[in-house]
Amino acid sequence: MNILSVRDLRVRVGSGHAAMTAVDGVTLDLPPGGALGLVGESGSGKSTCARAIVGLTPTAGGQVLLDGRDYAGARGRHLRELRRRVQLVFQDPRASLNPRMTVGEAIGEAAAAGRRLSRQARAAEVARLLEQVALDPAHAQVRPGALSGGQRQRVALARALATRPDVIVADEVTAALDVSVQGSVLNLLRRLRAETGLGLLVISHDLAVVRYLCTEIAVMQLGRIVERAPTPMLLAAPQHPYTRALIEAATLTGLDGEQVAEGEPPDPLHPPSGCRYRTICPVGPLVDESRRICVELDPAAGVDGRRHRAACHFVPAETVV
Amino acid sequence: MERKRLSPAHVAVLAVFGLLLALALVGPIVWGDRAEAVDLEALGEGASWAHPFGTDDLGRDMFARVLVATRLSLVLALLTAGLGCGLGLLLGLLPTMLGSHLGKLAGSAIGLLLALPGLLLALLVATIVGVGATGAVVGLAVAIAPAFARLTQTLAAQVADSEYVAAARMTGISLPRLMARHVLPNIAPALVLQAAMTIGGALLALSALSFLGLGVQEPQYDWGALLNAGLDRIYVTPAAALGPGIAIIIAGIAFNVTGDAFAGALAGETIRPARRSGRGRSRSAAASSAVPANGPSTAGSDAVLQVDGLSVAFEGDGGTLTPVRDVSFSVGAGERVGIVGESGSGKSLTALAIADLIEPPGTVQAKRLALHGRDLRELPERERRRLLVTSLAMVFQDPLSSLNPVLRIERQVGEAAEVHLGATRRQARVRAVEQLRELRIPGAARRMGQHPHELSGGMRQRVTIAMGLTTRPSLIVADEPTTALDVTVQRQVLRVLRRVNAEHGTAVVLISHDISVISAFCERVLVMYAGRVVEELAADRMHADAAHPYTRALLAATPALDADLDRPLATIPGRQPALDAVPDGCPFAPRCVHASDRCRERLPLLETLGEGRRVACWHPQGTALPVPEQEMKR
Amino acid sequence: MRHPWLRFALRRTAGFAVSLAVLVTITFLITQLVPGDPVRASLGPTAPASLVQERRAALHLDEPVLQQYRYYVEGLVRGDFGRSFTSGQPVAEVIADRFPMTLRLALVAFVVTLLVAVPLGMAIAVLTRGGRRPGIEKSFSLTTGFVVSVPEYLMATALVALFAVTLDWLPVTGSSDWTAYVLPLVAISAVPIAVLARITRVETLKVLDQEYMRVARSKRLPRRLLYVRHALPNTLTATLTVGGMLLAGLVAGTVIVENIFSWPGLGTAIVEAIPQKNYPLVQAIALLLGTIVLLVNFVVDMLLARLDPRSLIRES
Repeated sequence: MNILSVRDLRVRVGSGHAAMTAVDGVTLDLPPGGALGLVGESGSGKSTCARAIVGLTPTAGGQVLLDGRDYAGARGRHLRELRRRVQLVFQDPRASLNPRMTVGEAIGEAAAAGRRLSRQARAAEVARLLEQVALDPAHAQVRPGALSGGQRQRVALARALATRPDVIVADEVTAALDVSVQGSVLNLLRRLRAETGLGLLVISHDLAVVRYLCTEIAVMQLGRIVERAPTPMLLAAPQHPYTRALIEAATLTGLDGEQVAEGEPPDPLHPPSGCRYRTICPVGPLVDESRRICVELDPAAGVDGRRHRAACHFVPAETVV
Repeated sequence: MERKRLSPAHVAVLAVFGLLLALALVGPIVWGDRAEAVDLEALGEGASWAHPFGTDDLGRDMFARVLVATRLSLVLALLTAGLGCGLGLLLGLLPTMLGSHLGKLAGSAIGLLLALPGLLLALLVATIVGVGATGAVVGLAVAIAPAFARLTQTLAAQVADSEYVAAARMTGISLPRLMARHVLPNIAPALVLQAAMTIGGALLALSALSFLGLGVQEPQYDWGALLNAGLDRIYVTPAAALGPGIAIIIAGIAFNVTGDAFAGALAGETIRPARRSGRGRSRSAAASSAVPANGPSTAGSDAVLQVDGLSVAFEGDGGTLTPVRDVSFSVGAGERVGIVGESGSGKSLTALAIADLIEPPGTVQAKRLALHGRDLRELPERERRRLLVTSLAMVFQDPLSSLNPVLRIERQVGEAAEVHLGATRRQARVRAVEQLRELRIPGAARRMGQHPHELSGGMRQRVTIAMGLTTRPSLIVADEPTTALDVTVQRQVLRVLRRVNAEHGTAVVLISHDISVISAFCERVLVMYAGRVVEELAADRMHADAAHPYTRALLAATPALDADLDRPLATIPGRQPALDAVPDGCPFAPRCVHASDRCRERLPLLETLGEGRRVACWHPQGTALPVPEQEMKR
Repeated sequence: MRHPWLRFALRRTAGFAVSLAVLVTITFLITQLVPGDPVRASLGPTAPASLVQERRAALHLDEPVLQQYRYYVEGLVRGDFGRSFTSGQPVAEVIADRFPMTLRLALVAFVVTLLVAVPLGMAIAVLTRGGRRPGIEKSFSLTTGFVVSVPEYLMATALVALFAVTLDWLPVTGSSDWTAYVLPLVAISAVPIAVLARITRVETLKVLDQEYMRVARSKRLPRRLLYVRHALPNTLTATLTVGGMLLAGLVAGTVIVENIFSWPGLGTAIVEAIPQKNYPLVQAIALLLGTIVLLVNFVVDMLLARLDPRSLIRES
């Protein structure tokens, strides 16, 4: 039984002629205490997906299942229950912490939401949470402005932990931090998962971050999951050309090889027919015109029993598992 | 927390403000009788000792009348502003409170009202309500409301969209609490300020209506009505018009300046938390350019760029800040050199200084700053521009903000050829298309007529590269050219730079915070910390040769796809020193695990360790080479 | 790509039409909302009942509201604004008589404002950038701050007192020759010039700090190109948007200033008409002034859409 399951999730954003389906049929599974990475570039819909899961963005279809119960489109009490159990941690702690509240107030407020806590109990809880994220409890008195980026992000994590969630959705939590402190936040997330059995859904553009935290990776492109597999399999034998491009880009290899023909990136407002990657795909019709199937048929990743799945008509034979 | 101190001018205005309030309270009590005393002996007199502003056509003392009118003028202004702001607040909250469709409607209604001239609205309402004080107050309130509504609407939308409100919603707190704790405190100060300033505006507008005879009617009077009466006799007794006029101006200025002062204090309060690290700049003796540093490592005569002892300083109120200190290096023809460092290390300012783009109050000092062996600072203006244009191209971080949003691509890419190479508009266009083709931009000819926002991120950055290449420079200085881009696009852009480098022998100086990008792209790497070069080494020997603890820490802290998963990631404790608090010794010492007393006291100089290797450290790691003993005291 | 622009133009035209319709409705509602009988209110309690009845019939006041609204709109389309309550003269004639005077004053003031304020603001921005020449900056902000605090009717009074009464250089009233324009123009445009120059300065400073200006500098362009081609168009969005709003203020200023200088325009007419309860005249003038402001804002928006392609995106 999965603690969190997302079934065929669809999210529409924008209005009028700028409307588009930012998340188009995404399916994810997170076992209790598991760690799943959702990787994609800007415009892939990964952050919209995260916000839709926790009910910050309305869904246009699909299910968000917690212990088998559907919370998609939940309101009122159900919505509060969903948010208590699935906490989102945002990218930039400077924006996600109210500048006018002290650290203790912010964490205390979250800890006391939905239950009664005496003043002392609340203070003790705040101190416990600050210690859990390796911060001095004395920090409860200061405002976020007085903290460094890494400290602020740990405060944001403590606030998320305050509601005693089952799952934390971490949306690019290191992207706004200096490289010198990114490690501390990543180490903390790993430790928390090991110690408390917290489920992790890690949203990131950075394969290295996701590899460090997650046991399974789903790759997202233009609103769809194009490949998913256990982390070592995905990195060692990527099947989708987009995943290969991501890995090549992350390792910065082959910078001076001859460039293949390059198409125009797909327009998210008017996604191409068939495969959405075909306009820039290095194995699709751009290089081999006989591959009409990419234009005509959508290679949706079949939901079958395989652990490694890719939505591509031309998965290289030697890597098929 | 220290408060922003008010200037003497502000104190004076606040005093005037207090005086006005006092007048409004006691004016009618003290001077009320005198203001009503009809004196048939002194009809329409000019200024005199007894009547400083003269008398009106019933012989009443104008000075007393001006003082007494303070109360009515202020009270009506308060009423108007209160009513107007209240209306505006309600109207302005509608778009956020109503759903998306009704909200949009309310938003357009506000826009519609805003488009109509306020005075016209006021006059129409006053016509309906009837001429008099009530009509004027209601009319002006209606006129004030739309602007206040728009402000409320904007602020509420901003705060409602902010991540901290989203984060608060995540914790599951109730809606009233969300409004009370997170939304209102963050919009209230700006609204209160606006309301206060509206009072001043209302005062002036009410006087205007009374002045036109459409406001306060006889026997009541406010400043506007007095001014109106005075204007009829302006040829005979100008003082009668002057008195109420002065009162109105003083009140107007008092309200405006008080508002400004509060706005300033408010802005100061919200900005302060962001930069807390003590702004009290200490005076640093910027004697660093006198330091006898070892010469640049590859200082051949064929060097495209030679930099020796480069410092960049900014003169401020509290002293001089020196974000770049004594930087020396050179770039050979066709070489790829990387500069890596955290934000604030001075790497971008180094790039700007090389390109002669540091603007006042910044100043550049250097022993040598030469392109193709010609020192830029020794050339006359015209020749320097020419040398810079033909030998150096800059590429900046964010391609969208690097391109002028209102100009077509054709203009922006072709411009340099037109201005500096004497090309015609048509030739420049041909040159631009060629350049775009060379960088493999699909549909190069079609791009000419487009604006930057019509291009994708990667294409934009290639356009900015093309822009610099039209004059065939021998050096590209690229400052974080891929930081704003996705990884796959970053790869494209790096490949483009690499090809230009390979095919035309164009040297590249790549600046980045990302040590993995630098080591993948460059041949030689300079590591900068707190304004200084702390290490220089070959890129492919980075992991093996890095001797400076900072370089090693940077490498270890960068999550890589081949990092050991069983070990926690390294972090570098502490922060880079603030510009005004750079320590006397090694700037990295406070964060360094190997730091000794010597490190804290004496600045290590950049010393040559071997072929193409330099390091500034008292305890270089992983090397058997002797530590240079030369040291200096700052 | 003409497509987005066309879409923008269509939407904006529709918006203009709606605003106009609302304006027409508001002015129509004046006679409906006035407490009691507008004709009686205007003619006074002593007027014979037969005259009141006659007037009411002429104004269709006894018919259903919607019917009246139809007559009103039909009248507007024909250019028939009714007759003045006080003189019996067709309102259209009064307007034809006075409108050119107001238009001339407002237009000249608008042009003067733009021509003075934009170059002034830009020049100050360029001169004082990066904390240079603090003296110029201080005196600029002090002067404009003072001017903004002085409302136009006071400015006008002070100008009259100084130049017409004390020095006797310029005429106080009327519109005989060009000298009569000087004082009203200064009085009307002083505040807008100060406001617009401040905004232009701030906007220019913002633009000069943009990365594309740094890129333009890195191309070593001559100053003229740098400021005119690269900076100016980017400041226009804010400047012209405010300019449109200032014009609304300018219309208001005209109403007031006309009264001080006894300028025979619409401003003096409406200020006379309101206490006299001469509703048809009030309606017509309000409609006309409002339409002018809407029209200018419309034109500014269309112009901006051509000059600054980003405004099309921002809209959608």
